[in-house]
Amino acid sequence: MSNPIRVVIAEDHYLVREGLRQLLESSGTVEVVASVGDGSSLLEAVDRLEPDVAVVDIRMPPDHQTEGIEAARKIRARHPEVGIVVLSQYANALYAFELFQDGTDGLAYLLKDRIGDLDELLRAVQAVNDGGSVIDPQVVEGLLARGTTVSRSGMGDLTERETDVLREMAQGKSNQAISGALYISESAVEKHIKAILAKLGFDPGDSAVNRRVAAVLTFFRTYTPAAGE
Amino acid sequence: MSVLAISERRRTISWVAWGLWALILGLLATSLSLAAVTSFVLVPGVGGAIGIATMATAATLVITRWPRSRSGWLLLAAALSIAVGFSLGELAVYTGIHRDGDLGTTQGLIASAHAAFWLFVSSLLLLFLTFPDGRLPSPRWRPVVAAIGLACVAGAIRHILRAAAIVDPRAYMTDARFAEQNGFEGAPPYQRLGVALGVIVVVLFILTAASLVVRLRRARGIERQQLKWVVYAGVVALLMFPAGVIGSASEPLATVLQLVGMLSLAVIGAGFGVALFRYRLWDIDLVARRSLVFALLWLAIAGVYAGISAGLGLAAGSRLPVAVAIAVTALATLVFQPARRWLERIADRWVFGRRNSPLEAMHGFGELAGSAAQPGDIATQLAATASAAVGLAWVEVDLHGSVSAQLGTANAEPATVFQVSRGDEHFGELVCRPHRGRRLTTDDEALLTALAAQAATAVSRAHLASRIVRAQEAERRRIERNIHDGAQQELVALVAQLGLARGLSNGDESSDNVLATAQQDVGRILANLRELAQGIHPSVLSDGGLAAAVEDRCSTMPIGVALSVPPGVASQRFADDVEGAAYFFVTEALTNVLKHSRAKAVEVALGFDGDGLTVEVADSGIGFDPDAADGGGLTGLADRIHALGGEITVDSQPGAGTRLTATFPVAATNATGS
Repeated sequence: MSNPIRVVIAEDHYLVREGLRQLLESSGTVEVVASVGDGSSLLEAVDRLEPDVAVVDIRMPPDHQTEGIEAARKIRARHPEVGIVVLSQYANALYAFELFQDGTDGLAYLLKDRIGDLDELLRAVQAVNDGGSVIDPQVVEGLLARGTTVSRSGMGDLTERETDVLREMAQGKSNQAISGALYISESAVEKHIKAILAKLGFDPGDSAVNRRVAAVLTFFRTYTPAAGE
Repeated sequence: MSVLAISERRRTISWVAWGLWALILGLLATSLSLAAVTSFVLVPGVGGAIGIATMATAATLVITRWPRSRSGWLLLAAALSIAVGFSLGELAVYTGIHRDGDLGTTQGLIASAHAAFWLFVSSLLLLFLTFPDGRLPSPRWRPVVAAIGLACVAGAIRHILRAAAIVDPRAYMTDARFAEQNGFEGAPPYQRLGVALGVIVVVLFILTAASLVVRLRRARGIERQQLKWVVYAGVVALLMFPAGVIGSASEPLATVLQLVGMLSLAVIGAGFGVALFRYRLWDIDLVARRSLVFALLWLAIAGVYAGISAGLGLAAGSRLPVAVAIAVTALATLVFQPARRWLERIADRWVFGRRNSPLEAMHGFGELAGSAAQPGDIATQLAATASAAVGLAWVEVDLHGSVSAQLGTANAEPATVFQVSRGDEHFGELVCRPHRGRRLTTDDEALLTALAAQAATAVSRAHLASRIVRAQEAERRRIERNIHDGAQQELVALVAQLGLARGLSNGDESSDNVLATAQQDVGRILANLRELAQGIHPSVLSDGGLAAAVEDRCSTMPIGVALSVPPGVASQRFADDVEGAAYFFVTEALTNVLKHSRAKAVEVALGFDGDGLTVEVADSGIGFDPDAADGGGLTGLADRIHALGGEITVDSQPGAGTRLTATFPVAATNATGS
């Protein structure tokens, strides 16, 4: 058996914090090296202990808003190698976007309800430890619903074909692979991608894809079953 | 001792005044008795007697109250001299015509009557010139007093000489034109003096009127109110007096018009009496405005009447044909109302400034205060109402610096400041400057104080309404936080415990099943709690702002939503209460769309143009008649939006879809992007 994953927990509610600690330790694959109650203690613990993964509550003192996300970003800036699982009360994708706005690697956004499902929690810890990323399925459902009903001003709806292209893009496929999968020419794929970016409000010439797109892509990459690459 | 002496002296003076009053009334009674026998100017005589009695009574009352009042004594002198003149005139007619008496006696009586009349004219001029304290406006007016004296002496002498030349008293008394030509022996040189004297008397009257206007402009406070009454009485009397002259043009009206002319004396007497005693009896400006308008109209109608009579070539004294009289009356009736309004407007603008009665002012402002007005509207309305009710050159309403309204042009008149406050709460000031040369009366100040108090109530109510909305908003946020950090956390801890228990069950399938079911149940409760918190106050609204929350809400709609959020609005934050009201406006509108519209798609648009936030929800559904429908859930929301100074507009008709718009007059609080 490999070395256990060294985890720091940040959660202000005592019962949740202890439950979380016991659960993770009961798995035998995780060693909880510290459990703290707020963002600044978390940063201090990460600086001091250099854990593999931080499991962070999104709402913490002092304001109980999105301190967890702010702490995650700070950790990301100071210790890029530390994986972070943010536990949230909110199924709203906005918070996930917030977390993923500077990149998705080594980050997970899970609803707190998942605590009960030890396997899922451990999978997320394992994934961020390996540099991958996870978004909670319920958040994904919200995103899927959003894609079908809301179109933002001046952008119009994505056509069915463009949605297909986006889905393929999300699986990390190259333009060539997309053209192969959808039976359309590569130039057509390029045209669709430009249209998609334009419709999503980004500069079509900008290859450094912006945060919202990154979040959408992350969700597709993580949760859409790979269609036989 | 000295107090006793003074009071003794006062009593004596008072007895003297009342004695003279009794004398005047006795003279009047004698005159009317003689007139009843001779039928000489009987009806006008009654009017004159009423007028003189009024003057005498007013003067005596004034003297009783203020024994040293020069105005009171001058008024009494005027009443006495005209009463003497009246009675001597009637006596002359009685002895000279009725009894065919001695010519010399008749001449003497006529001369004395005219001399008394000149005494009356001079007393009256002096009275107007020195009101209310019996002193001249300035020493520069002394020559005017001298001129009055000289003119009256000259007039009296002329009339005495003229009386001496009378050869036929009957002709002299009964026919005015005849008197000028045939009543005399020849045309003596002093006759020419008549025209010059007439001009001088008119000039003196004009000078006196001018001095009144000058004093009115300078006067302040009580004196000003008193002067207003006197000026008013003088003007009315001036308008009434010519009635007698016009009256001679048409016989059926002559007597009545002469009566009106004589009653002008009563107006003067009453005017002075009210001025000295009860100058606050009515709001003189309003009374004056209305009655002057009527007097002017009356004068114009009488003039037209006389003009038509003359135009028809009717000799003085003959009757106006009935048809013409009816036509003139009908015309006058038709013209009367529009002319009255027109004159009132002119009077408003030039003489008094636009004024509402205090009742109108309070009522109008009360209505505003009754609606859910914002401090801005209240300030504007208060300024307008104050200006209209009191007639101000400049009015400024300043509500705690943030909201202010100005009206008019500032001048150098002293400003009066009224506090807009209610109990301990102080909301601002109402600053008023009267027109140049005018001053706020006690009644004006009382009215403005009342208006300011009413404004304070309205402002207090507006503040209360927005405080309630703000408190409600804060409370919703607090409840939402408590759900997330309280119940939800406890349940998460429970989920964790159940997870641990499952780990400890060591593959016992039945107990693991029970625990798994329990975990699922708790998960469902957590999901419900999340929805509950979302409904009370979505966390996205606090954390991401209005655009994010609206987008989030739209994303859960089962029908297509076209959301328009201009780039500037997406990351724009507004005050908590505004964001809350705007968000719940959208959710309520979307709920209505789903419930009633049968629309397949809905458009939601946010707009922010620097001074206002606009939120619009439009569908292409079946629509409804906004007048017939009750607001439903939107009513409570409308109150909430009104309390923030916003507006809801409903644009719908059956078959043409529905467009709901909410506007908020707000500035952005910050521009924190997220």
